[in-house]
Amino acid sequence: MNKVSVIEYVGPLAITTEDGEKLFQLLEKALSQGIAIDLDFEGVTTLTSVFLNAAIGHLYSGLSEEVVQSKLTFTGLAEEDRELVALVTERAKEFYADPAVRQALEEAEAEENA
Amino acid sequence: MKTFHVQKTCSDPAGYEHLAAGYAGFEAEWFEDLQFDFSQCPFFEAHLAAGLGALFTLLISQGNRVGFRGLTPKVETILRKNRFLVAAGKAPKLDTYGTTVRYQRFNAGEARGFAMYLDKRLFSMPELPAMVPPLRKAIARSLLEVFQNAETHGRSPHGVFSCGQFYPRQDRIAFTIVDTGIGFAGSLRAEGIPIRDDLAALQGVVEQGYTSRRLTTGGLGIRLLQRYLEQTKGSLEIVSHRGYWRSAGGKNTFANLQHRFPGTLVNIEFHV
Repeated sequence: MNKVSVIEYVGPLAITTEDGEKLFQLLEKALSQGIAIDLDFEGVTTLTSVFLNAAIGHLYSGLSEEVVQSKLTFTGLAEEDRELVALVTERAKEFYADPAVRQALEEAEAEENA
Repeated sequence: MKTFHVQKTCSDPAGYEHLAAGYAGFEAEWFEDLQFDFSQCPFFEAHLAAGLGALFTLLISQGNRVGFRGLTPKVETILRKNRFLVAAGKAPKLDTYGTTVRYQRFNAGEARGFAMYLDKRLFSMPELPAMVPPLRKAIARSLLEVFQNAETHGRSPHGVFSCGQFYPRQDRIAFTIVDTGIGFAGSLRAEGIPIRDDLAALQGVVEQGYTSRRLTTGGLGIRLLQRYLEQTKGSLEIVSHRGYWRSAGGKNTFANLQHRFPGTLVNIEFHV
């Protein structure tokens, strides 16, 4: 299991979309190649849904639920932070399973490739 | 010179209506001398300085000179303690009770700065009772959630305005965060969601989960805020242009304002 320390990546404040996207780049690449990651939140003092949406929620746009849930684990989370991660994950699964969203994503991708 | 007479202003629908009216009276003015006369204002709720700051910034952006007069000692004292009047050339006053969270304006992209402001100005307040970590986190997250929503959805060209106040006798923190952006309705319409009016936009977001997010997940903001408020026995009010919403004790109240507030104002209160 490969450990990634959030505090080493973004510091004790895991709060912005930009920082979440930095972490997303690494997670998405690793998980899509079947590499398991343990995301360690030890030392993070402030964690927001904005950061988690960008870092973790966004993984569900391109990866299957099975891959994300089997290859990505979390440590160093206080109970209230664990609840937040669960909420963000549930919301992301619901969002990316919506046919209207899938269609919008496909259209956006087609426009990008055109 | 044109004058607006400020009345007693509290964080309630009448207070927000009054702030909106103050702006509406001057909205069409350019390169004018505008005075906010406080001689009929015996009380101005300190944290609403964030709303005043937003209005003044907008008026100044149209080349107007904006001033105050007739401040009663009580109102002047609190607006000097929270540093609101410092921008107008008044000397700050020492906050001997340590209960103000100073007025500050942030640019978009300054969420980290806002988080540090909360640590330094709110959570380090000597008068604030010690908080268990989950409560402190709930408060920090709520305020960051509001700030980041203002940044992301508000699209305000003038930044985000913030001010807070701790009321030790009530063990209550009140925080106001304001932007001068496109509001809930504007944000939803920008993503092609048809919205009848400002109130319908608020109701849509709160009761039907409307979100302006089309391609990336998110939109947990209101849900999380309501959850945190349950934990802190708090309340949340949002004014977005002419729409008003209050959430407290699991109950939602909606109303229309007669005057249009030029952006979104969020007033959030926690019990500690």
